[in-house]
Amino acid sequence: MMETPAQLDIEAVRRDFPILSRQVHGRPLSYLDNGATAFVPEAVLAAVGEQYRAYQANVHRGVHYLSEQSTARVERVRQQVADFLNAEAPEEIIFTSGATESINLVARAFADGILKPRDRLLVTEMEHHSNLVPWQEACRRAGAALDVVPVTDAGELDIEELLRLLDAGPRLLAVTWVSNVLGTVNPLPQIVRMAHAVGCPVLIDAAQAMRHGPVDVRSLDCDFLCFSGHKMMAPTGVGVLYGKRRRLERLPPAAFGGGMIDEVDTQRATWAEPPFKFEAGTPNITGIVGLGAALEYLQSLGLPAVYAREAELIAYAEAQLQERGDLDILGAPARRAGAVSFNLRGLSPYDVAKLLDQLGVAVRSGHHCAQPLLARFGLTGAVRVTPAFYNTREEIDALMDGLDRIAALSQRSL
Amino acid sequence: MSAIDAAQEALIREFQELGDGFEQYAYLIELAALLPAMAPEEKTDERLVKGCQSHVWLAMRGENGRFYASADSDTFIVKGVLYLLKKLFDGQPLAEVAAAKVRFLEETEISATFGPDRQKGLGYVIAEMQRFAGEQAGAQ
Repeated sequence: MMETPAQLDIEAVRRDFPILSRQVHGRPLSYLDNGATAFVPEAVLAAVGEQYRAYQANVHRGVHYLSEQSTARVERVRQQVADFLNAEAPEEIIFTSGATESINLVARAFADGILKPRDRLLVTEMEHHSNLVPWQEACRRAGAALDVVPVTDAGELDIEELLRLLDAGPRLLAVTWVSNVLGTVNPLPQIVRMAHAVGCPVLIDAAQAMRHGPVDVRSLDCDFLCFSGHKMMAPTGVGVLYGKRRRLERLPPAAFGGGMIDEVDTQRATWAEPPFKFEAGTPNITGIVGLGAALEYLQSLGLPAVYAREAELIAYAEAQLQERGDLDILGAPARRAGAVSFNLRGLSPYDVAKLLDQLGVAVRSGHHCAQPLLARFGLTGAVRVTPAFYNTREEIDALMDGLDRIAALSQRSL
Repeated sequence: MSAIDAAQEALIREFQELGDGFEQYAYLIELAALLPAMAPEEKTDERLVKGCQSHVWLAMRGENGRFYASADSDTFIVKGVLYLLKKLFDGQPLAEVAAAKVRFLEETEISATFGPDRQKGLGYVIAEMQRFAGEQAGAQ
């Protein structure tokens, strides 16, 4: 039997994020844009401050005390991330600036050393542009073809089509775990099994998945997985690429410079072993330390409690939106996490988000960097609500009150 | 004081009396309904000012030394601002349009409508109107 996770002490959690109590436009803030960037707790700010105040020195360079301390702190986070993802070894963890750079790193390597003309590569219609455009470019440069798994009316991947496209023998499947627009949770262990059955490696964009459930790369058996720190309480500008060791060993580096070489003469160089082969230049040391502190913070709250709270809030938001007769929710996936998007009839998403902002409610509007997905639903934009565990039902109620006022407005004037 | 400045003064007072930002935006949405829509065939790519969140179509002409514009948007708030710009500039001497200091956006709560990328926002629309008016004033 599954144990019911301990509940978060929300009042205490909210005290960890003083930004939650600030006002905007003279009103209390209801921040429901965590799918774009989540807030950073005091513990992470303290770790970042401490790194600057007490360490700061560069990593893997100096033999002096501070450099060795910085190096140890960064490598400790690498081990922490490996443990968090249940990777086999810290060498499978590459630090990047975020999920976008992680994907670009793999895509450039594929374009340079793996994809051949007439090869095929597979993505899906629900990808964020960050997991679409790098593959378009890789295919264009290599003369390969890009296939796209369609999305159903419910906002789920068309699994039959996926199977059919896998039969064409793509060199890689790049797929999101959780849609940043629809909140759809894709059936990943199943998709990875289907891809591996035809010898196709899988890259998972887990940017939207990290706060919603355990991410276990070994049980997923994925070949690559990436995420951004700033959606899980870390500073901006830091992210991770996980790669199976044997994949990383065969992958050519995509950026060149200091820190990633073995030996260099004036004409050529040889590469260091992974992960350093993929980390040219000075990494975002402070960001990495902040990421470590963020993981520690989430673990200190109890991950099952965080996951449960996130699930409860998105279900509440979805139920409240569904009760309204004046808006259309995008998709109706069987499993949803983190995000629900809608359009209020008669007003553009921009108008709705702008008016909500004036009421202190922060939501995102626009195409959410997923134009093909919006086009699939005949839209150019939507309003997106993405709560995080520190939000309250009252903040979602503030959104609903705001929508009431806006809906009344559109009836008054249009 | 030019007619544009006087109209702008009145506009700023009117908006300030409305109260908070929500009411000011709400009023813009009401004003949007007063902006004559451009016909679909008038909304050509040449007239499109593309933005990330909203699109604006803008057509301008100079007639007898005076400025006239028609404009449309896919969002009501922006349409409301376009209505105000039209109200300020339409029928005014081209040289005065070119020289006007547009400050009602900054002096009300509307200024936030300017995205950080001003080239793609309303700042660009205003700059285009004034550039056109200046060119026409010089030509006529």
